[in-house]
Amino acid sequence: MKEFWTIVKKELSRFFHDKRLMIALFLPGILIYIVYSLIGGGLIDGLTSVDENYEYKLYTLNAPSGFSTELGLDDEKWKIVEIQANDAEKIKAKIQDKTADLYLEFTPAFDFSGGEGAGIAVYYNTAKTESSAAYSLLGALLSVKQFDAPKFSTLPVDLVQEDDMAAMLFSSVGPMLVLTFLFTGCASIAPESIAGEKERGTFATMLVTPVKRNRIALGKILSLSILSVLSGLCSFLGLTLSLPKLMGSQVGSGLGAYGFGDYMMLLGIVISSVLLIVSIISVVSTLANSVKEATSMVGPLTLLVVVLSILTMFGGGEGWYWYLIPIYNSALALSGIFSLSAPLLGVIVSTVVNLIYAVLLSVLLAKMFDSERIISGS
Amino acid sequence: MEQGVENVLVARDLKKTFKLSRKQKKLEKNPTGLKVAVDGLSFSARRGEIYGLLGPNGAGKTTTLRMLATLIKPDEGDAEINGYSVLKQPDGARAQIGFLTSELKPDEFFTPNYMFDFFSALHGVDERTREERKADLFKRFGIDEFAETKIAELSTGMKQKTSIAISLVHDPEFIIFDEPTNGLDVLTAKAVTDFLLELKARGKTILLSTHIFSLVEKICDRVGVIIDGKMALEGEVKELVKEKNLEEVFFDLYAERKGEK
Repeated sequence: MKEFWTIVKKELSRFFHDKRLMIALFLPGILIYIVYSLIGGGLIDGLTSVDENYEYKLYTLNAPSGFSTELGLDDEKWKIVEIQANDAEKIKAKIQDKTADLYLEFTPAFDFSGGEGAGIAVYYNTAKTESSAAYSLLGALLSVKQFDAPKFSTLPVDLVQEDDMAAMLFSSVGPMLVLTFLFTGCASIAPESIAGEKERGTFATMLVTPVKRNRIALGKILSLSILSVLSGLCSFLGLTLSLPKLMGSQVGSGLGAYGFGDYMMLLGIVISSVLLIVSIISVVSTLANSVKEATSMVGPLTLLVVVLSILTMFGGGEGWYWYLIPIYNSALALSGIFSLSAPLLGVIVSTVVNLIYAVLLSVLLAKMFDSERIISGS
Repeated sequence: MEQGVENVLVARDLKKTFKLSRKQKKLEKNPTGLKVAVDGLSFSARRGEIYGLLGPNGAGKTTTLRMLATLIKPDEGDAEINGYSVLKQPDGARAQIGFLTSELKPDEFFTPNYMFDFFSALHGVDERTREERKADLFKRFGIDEFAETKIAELSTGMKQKTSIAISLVHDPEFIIFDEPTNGLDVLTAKAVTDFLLELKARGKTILLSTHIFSLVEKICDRVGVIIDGKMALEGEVKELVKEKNLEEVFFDLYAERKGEK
């Protein structure tokens, strides 16, 4: 058993003394933080920028005559439609569906000079860029008016739906980025640790020691797993720090609400995915005779990870059985977590299944260390 | 076994067949898909002897060394290393073996000191013995000055000396050297050769695989020539080189076996 720990210690020491490997392992987490924070900024910019020739569709009910002049609305920018009271619900639904921008519901006989109970309800949808921008513009004009004559009240009503656009956008690209980062991190250590030993001939020297081969395999797997979990935790930290920036207070209500449960699900998926990925890459690296060969063998797997992650953009994953497919299950679960609609069963199935696959692959790896054809590379 | 002579290595009827890949099958024009790498090889090496193994590429030398080092199992036959069967007692046999191939390149990120300690731990060498051996071997090879230098920063010769040192951490009785002077400058090659003679003087048994005839003539007591997986010739070096040098002996034998001139 002492020899087993000697191998683990050497592998860990090898890693912590190699700046190149350390950077490759922890870079994913840092990149996730940087990229997602930047994407967050871009996402917000995208959400708030409106074409300068855009004409806002504004519906009104009980609007006093000349209200647009009173507020200073530019006629070219605003298409104002006065509706009947029985159409109010229909217009609210349109705003919810993002086919209308803004709806102002004035109290009956509203007058800007005030009166008993005078007020305006402003209906908008933050998920629609134009609606959000229209609300901001009108809100500013109403504030000015309120400043001059604070004699009426305003009631903003955000009709945003659960499937918020920002969350949808992020949940479609997020899984691909996370899994690619995790895969790249693992791909930077496993080939070096196994194929590198074979290439340098030190593997044969290790096999000629009295240490049993399955212990050598377990030592490798354990050390790689420790490093991979560290990498996974770093990625998790990057995600944790960047998510509030991406989806938080800048977007609006309901979106910055990633709770403890979401983060725990994220942690489970990230760690189990990393263990699965490192096991896959270790098996591939054992088949290779050099780091170069291992890297070239891992290349197509990276593409496979990207493709499986992209598939989640096109929906699917309604049944729990989809969560049995490795990598795809992690992408589905991540997509669900990012869009605040993670199916708990799916996340649990993914985590457990990933861990089972990782254990099975570790057993396979130990068997491979016993195969002279694989070990001798003949 | 000769009276009073102790054999540290006894190999009996070793046979190893490899299944060829589709590509190899095509390349070697071998429809059976099987290649007999070693075909009933028997030989022995005595305590305190350097036994040279000669043969062209693909003759089966490396496969033989790998079987003796317990890296691969023979399909037929067996070998005993200091009394331990490579088939039945591989762990015991491994404790007796030092194995150095020219392919061995210690992890360049570590220091000679670290690698020596690492392999000592794998062999279960206690700390005091390890430090004594390390001091002795490092001083012998001039590694002591570079003990804490990363292997990447060492010269090729110093790297090879480090490889030799780490393959001997457990002071093995039987040492397999596969092309130990490959790619070394003359000074380092001489240092390695001198060390082999020193090991022999200390009663160690060395199996040396090489292509350098002059090296075999100079330091080996006996030699075995393998052609097509079979022992084509075996004998005392001084007896074989009485009429012609070893290189001529080898080429005449090879031509005779292969029907070539």
